[in-house]
Amino acid sequence: MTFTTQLEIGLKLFNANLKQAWRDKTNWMTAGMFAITALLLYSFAFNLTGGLVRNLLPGVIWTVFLFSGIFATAQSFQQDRQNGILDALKISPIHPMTIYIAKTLTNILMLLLIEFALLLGATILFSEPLFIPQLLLIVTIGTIGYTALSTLLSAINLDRNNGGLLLPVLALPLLVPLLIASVEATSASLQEEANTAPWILLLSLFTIWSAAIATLMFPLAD
Amino acid sequence: MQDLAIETNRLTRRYDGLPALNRVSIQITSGSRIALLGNNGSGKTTLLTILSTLLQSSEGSATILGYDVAKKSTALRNMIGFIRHQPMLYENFSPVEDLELFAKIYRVSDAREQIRRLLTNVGIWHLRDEAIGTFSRGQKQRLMIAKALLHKPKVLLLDEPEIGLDQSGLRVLDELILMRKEEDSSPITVLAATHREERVDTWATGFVRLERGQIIETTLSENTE
Repeated sequence: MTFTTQLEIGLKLFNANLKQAWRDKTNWMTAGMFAITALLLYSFAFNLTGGLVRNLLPGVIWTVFLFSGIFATAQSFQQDRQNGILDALKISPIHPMTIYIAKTLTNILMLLLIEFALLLGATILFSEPLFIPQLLLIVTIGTIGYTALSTLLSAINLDRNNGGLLLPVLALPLLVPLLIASVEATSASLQEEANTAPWILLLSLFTIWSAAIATLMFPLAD
Repeated sequence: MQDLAIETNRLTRRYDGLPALNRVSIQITSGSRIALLGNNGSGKTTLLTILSTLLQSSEGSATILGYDVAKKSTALRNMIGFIRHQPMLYENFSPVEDLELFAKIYRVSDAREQIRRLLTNVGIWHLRDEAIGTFSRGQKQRLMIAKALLHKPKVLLLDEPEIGLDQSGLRVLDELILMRKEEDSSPITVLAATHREERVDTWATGFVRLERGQIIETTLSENTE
C-alpha cells in the first residue's frame, strides 16, 4: 500500500475515532470534570493573586493537564479491544503505525480542546492572561509529546489487569524531561522579559523524540 | 495436483510452555470447505487466530495462497476474511458507517452498492442506520458475515460462525458462505471451526478433528514434510 493510500485511510480512521469519542464521551467527560475540579481547588486553596500567581501557574497548569490527559488516554484502545475493532484493524491491510497515529491524533485533538477551555477558565480564575499565542504553542507541543507516549503505553497495557492504573506508573518517569521542559517554557512565557525560545526548542526536541519512538514502537506493542 | 489455499507445517503455539496447538500439519486445496472439529480447548481457535495473522506461532510455519502468514503482508490480508465468535464491530456506529470505513481500508470499489447488496442479503438492510450496540447477538453475527465478505476474500476463516444465529440466520450463513454457489472462477476456501457437527455433512468437503492441540482424525492429506 502506498503512503498516499495509508494517509487517506488514516484520515478515515481518525474521523471514525473522533466520531466514536464524540458518541461515547465517558473518558473525555471524566478528564474534563477532573480538570475543572482540580483547577477550582487550586484557585481556592492557594488564593492566587498578583505576582505570586506567575510562579505557581506553570506547575498548576501542567499538573492538571498531565493527570486529565492520563485519565483520557489510559483507556484509548480499551474500547476498541472490547469491541474487537482493534483485531479487525490488525488483520486488515492498514499499517499498525497508521492505527497508532490516527488514535494519537484523536487524543491530541480532544485533549487540546479541554486544555484550551481550561486556559480560558484559568484566565478568569487567576486574573492572568493565559490565552496567549506563545502559551498556546507551548501547550500544543507539550500535549503532542505526552499524548504520543501515553497512547503507546495504553496499548502496551491492554492485556494487563488494571492496565489503567499501571499507566501513570509507566508513563510518569518517561515524561519527566518533557514535563520539566513544558513547565519551564510555560514559566518563561509568563515572565515579561524571559526568553522562551531555548525551552520551546528543548520541548520540541523531546516531543519529536517521544512521537518518533512511540510510532516506531507501536507495531511491537502487542 | 490442485492449488493449495492453506498449508501448515508442524504449526505449534505454546502458552506458558504448554502447547495449545502441537505440530499441526494440514493441506487445504483451493475451493475446499473444511470443518474444524474438536472440544473446547482443542486448539481450533488458536489455529484460526494464527492463520488470521493475529497470533504468532511458537514453531512451524503456515502459508495462505502461498503467502507466509508470519510476514503479515498486505496482499495476504486482502485475501482473508475472518469471523470469530466475538463480533468485531464499532458498537456506536451504524452498520453502514462500520462497513464504509472497512470498505475504504480494503479499497473496495463500488462500496455503497456492495454494502447495500450485502446488508440486504444478510437481512439487516432495514437496520442500516441503527446503532450496532442495540443489535441482538444474531443481528451482529449477520453483520459480521457481511463484513467478512465485503472485500471479496479468497479464504474465509470462521470461528463458530453459527453462534447467535436463528434458523433464518443459518440459512443466510449457508447461502452466502458455507453452501455458496460459486459465481466466478476463483472459489472461496473455507476453514470453519464448529460445534454443530450435525450440520457439517451438508456443507463440508472435508474435516479436521483436533484434540489437545493435535490432529486425531482428518479427511485431508497431512503435510508430512
